[in-house]
This record gives sequence, structure tokens and C-alpha cells, in this order.
Amino acid sequence: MSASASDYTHEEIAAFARRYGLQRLSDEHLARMRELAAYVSDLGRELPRPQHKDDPPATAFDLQAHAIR
Amino acid sequence: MEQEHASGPFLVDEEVFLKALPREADGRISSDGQGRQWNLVGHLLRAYGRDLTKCGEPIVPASDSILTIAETSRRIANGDTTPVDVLERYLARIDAVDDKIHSYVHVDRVGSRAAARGAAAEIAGGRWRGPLHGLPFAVKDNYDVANMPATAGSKLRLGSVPTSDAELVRRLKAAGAILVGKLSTWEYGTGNGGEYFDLPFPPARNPWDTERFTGGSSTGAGTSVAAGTAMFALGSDTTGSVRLPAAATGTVGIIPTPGRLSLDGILPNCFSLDNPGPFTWTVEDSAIVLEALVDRMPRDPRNEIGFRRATGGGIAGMRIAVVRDPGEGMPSADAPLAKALDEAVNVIEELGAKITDVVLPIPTAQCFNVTRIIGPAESAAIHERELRERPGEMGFALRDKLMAGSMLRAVDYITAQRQRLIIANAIDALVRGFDALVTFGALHLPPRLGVEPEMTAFTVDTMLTPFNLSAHPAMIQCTGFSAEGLPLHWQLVGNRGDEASLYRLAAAYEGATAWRQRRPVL
Repeated sequence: MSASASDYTHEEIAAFARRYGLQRLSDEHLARMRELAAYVSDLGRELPRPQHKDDPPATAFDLQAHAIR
Repeated sequence: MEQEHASGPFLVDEEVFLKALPREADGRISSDGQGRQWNLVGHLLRAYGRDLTKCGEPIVPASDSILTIAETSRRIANGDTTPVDVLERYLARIDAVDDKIHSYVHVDRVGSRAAARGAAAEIAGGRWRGPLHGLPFAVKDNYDVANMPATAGSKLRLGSVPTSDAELVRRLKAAGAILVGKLSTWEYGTGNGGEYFDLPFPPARNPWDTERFTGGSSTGAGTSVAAGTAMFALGSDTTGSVRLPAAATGTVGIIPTPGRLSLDGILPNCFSLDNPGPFTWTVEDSAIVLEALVDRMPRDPRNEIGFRRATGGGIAGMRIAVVRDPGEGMPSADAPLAKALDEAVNVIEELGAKITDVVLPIPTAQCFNVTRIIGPAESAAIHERELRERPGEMGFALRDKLMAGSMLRAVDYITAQRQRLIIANAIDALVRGFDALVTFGALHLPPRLGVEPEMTAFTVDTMLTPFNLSAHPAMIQCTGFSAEGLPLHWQLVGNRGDEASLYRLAAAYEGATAWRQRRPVL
């Protein structure tokens, strides 16, 4: 089930922004953030999960160097 | 020869055409001193036999031909020209055409002229440093250059002037190259495909059609090389930002194996995906520049001969995988791009390559789902302070990305990095069975600037991201032109550590075709 912007109220988004130090976002920015909240929820939920618990993450900041070893 | 139109093809009458060529005393066709100009003749004869009237290939007047690094370097070494003359030609070209294409955001006339005079004096004194000595270049405005404005295309950084050079700039200067200026970029090297006209500089425009998009985020880099306002340029690629502009502008753009080039002094966009790369007009030029840039020379034995020397090798017996199907969840490639890929594969097959059709083991659409999490999350971490303190000064695209990244869960970021490793291993297992893989870069022709949904589709519908995730070297090369004169292209992907095979393959293709003879008319 996809998330939608209506899953979040403007006040919830504003509270989230305050909680994380984003007080300078304007109402217009917060309205856009509300839309994005649904988008990122979907992105995270729809990402396939690895099959095994021991499937490790890419060594994100070393993979590139590993590539030429 | 009858010239149809200044920017259109010449219709060629065989007898007149052959009589018009400059010849040596013994009747052989002579070089024009620019080297490649008359290579076209060989191509025409190969491609069309003696019936040249069937050929609509353009012949670029020598005054408009693009100077190559290889040829200009030879001319400087021979004393036929000087770094000062070469630089002045580029500065004049910038003055003449850059108000139409906006490739530069800063031109350092004083500094570049001083450097050119210094290079000329060194060379005249017998101290030639190598093939880049005295040759002009430019960098995307996310590279630091000492005492030169560094805006990264953002109002947030107006007035910022670094005190030291990015490592890649330092290396090029040490090789004797002359830095002309800074090139247009999407803000902080980031964008969602849309053009919002909300940045401090006008957007770069595609020199093949100035109403069209250049590809991003290295918007000025591809444009400058195609338009001849820079002999070569440096850009940076996180999920396609070197290769997409190269595709849109008909230039050679390469990202080497990640880790090969230093990121020091380049404004970070995404720590785990950022990868710099050069833009050039020819494959040999790309090899020359990459050799000057590399941090560590490759340990792969296939690279032992060096990138430039690899461009002289044949491709008989090379094992090439071809991905013609963009895969589930992706649109088909535009017909001219699909045709160009097929024809390019036919060319290398005729040159002796062994072709095998394959499909990517992971759908490209699935790769996008991973980078759509990794990219915004890392960018939000990098630029958190700006989002907290100055969100109103950002362009829409950057602010959007940082707001999205601020809301992504750590759980999802780690899941994306786990998926990345699965994708990287699967693609590597495929590529390792071949000497190289070829496929599309973009799936569409460059759209009109600011027109949606074509702009976003051009940026999103690509085959570029899988190879950022998989950490393979990848190159874009021009494979012709559409009916409306827009560049076509293919993407060549090599094994990790094996850029030499890409250069070998791309050079063989370039030598068998005439696409480097055409250039934008501005």
C-alpha cells in the first residue's frame, strides 16, 4: 500500500522539522516536505530486503578502493 | 561539392570531391596539418565504396575543426604553434559563442594567459613536460581552484574562493595544462532532471541545438568540449553526471574504476558513489588525460601498456557482451539510439570482436530504487547545515533532495547498501565473462531545455546507474547523429581496473567511423 501526503498532517511535518533543526523551512517548503514524506516512505518500504540476515551492506566507503585491488 | 546548409550535410560528388583534396607531388592525398581532417576520406571510401554521391557526411571546414590534444601537442612539440596561440584561439571561441551556450561560469583570462606564457617559455627552453603541456582545459564548478570563485552553481556559495587546488587540478597543472576557467553545473552537482531556472547562472545549452538540454549535472563540461570552448574538461559523476552530458553532447566521457581518481577538493555529493571523470573530443585524448589524472596506476596486467597505447590496439577476438534490452520497468530506447547501438555493434563485429547478447542480472529500475535512497541520504548528511540555516537560498532540486534525505530511515539506507552489494556482485559476475560490455547510456535523445516530462525522462530513463553501484569503469562515445542532428551514443563498460580495454574498443570504433568529423555550428 502506497503512502500519500494525507497520511501526514502539516503539523506533523512541521514538528518533525523542528525536532531535527529545520526550523527555517517555510510553509511552502513544509508542504513539499509533506509530499516527500510519502515518497520516501514508499522508497524504503518497497526496497527489496536481502534474503539472508547475514547479507552485509556494501562497504560503502571502501567498495570503490576494493574494486581495483 | 555542394554545400546544402552551413550546419547541414555536404552532398559529395565523387570526382569533384577527390579533385578538391590537397595532394602531395606524387598524387597521394596530403595531410592538412590538422591530422584527422582527411581521415574522413578513408572512411568515406570504406563506407560508400567509390559512390560518394550517396554519402551525406559533413565535412567540417578546417577553421571550425576541433583541435585535439594529440594533434595540438604534436604541433606544439614541433614548434608549429605555441601554448599562447592555442589559448588565444580558445579565448576567442569563448568570446564568440559562449553567450549562446553558457558553458562557463568563470573565465580566468589573466591567469590563463600568464600560465600559457610560462608554458611557452618552458617549452622554448627545452623543458617540455608531456602531452598536456600548454593545453587549455576547464573544470566543473564543484572543483576547488586556488583563488578562483567556487560556487558549485549555488547562491549558497557565492563569494567562496578556495585557497588550494583540487588534487586533479593540481595534477593537470603539474602536467603543464592551462586552466581557463570553471564550468556550469547543476547546484552542488545534484538535480532531479527538472530545470527550474532558479540558480545564480543561466543553464548551459546544448551546442548541437541551443534549445536543448546538455545533460546534467556536468552541464558545462560536455558543452564546452563539443563547442570547442575547452580542449578538455573535468566533471563528476554520482549516478550519471559525466556520462549523461557526454551522451547529450557527442563527447567522450569516462568514469574510471572508482578509487582511481582523487576526490580531494571536489565538493562531495554522495560519498559512496562520487567519481570524477574527463570529457574529451576523441578517445585518444581521453586516454591522455586519464593517464595524467590517475592516482594509482592499475595493477591489472591489461593496463600495463598504458591507456594511450591501448588506443592503438586492434579488437580482433575481444569478447563483447551487448545489452540491447533496457529491462523490466524501463522504457525502450528511442529508435535512433536503438539503431545506432545495433550499427555500432556491427562495426566492432566487422573489426573482429566476438559478440554475445546478454541481459543485466538486476533490472536497472531496481538499481534506481537503491540510488534514490543512498543519494539523498548521503547528500542530506553532507549538506545538513545548509538545509538548516539557508534553505530558502537553495534551488528547488537541491532542497527537495535534502528534505527527502532528511526523512529517510537509517534502516532503509542500510538496506539499500546491502542491496548495492548484491547488485555489484551480480553485475561483476556478468562483466567478468567478457572483455567489455556495451549498452545504452540514455534511452532518449536530449530534450528541449525545461520541457517536461521529457527533461525528467531523459535524466531518469538511463542505463547509467547500475555501473555506479557496481563500481565498473564506463565510457560514453558518440555513435552518430539523429535526423535532426542530435548526437547518438553507446556506453562501454569495462572490468574493474581495466580501462585499457575500453580505450582499445572505443578507439577501434572511432577509427572505423567518421563521427569525429562533425561538430556543432554556433
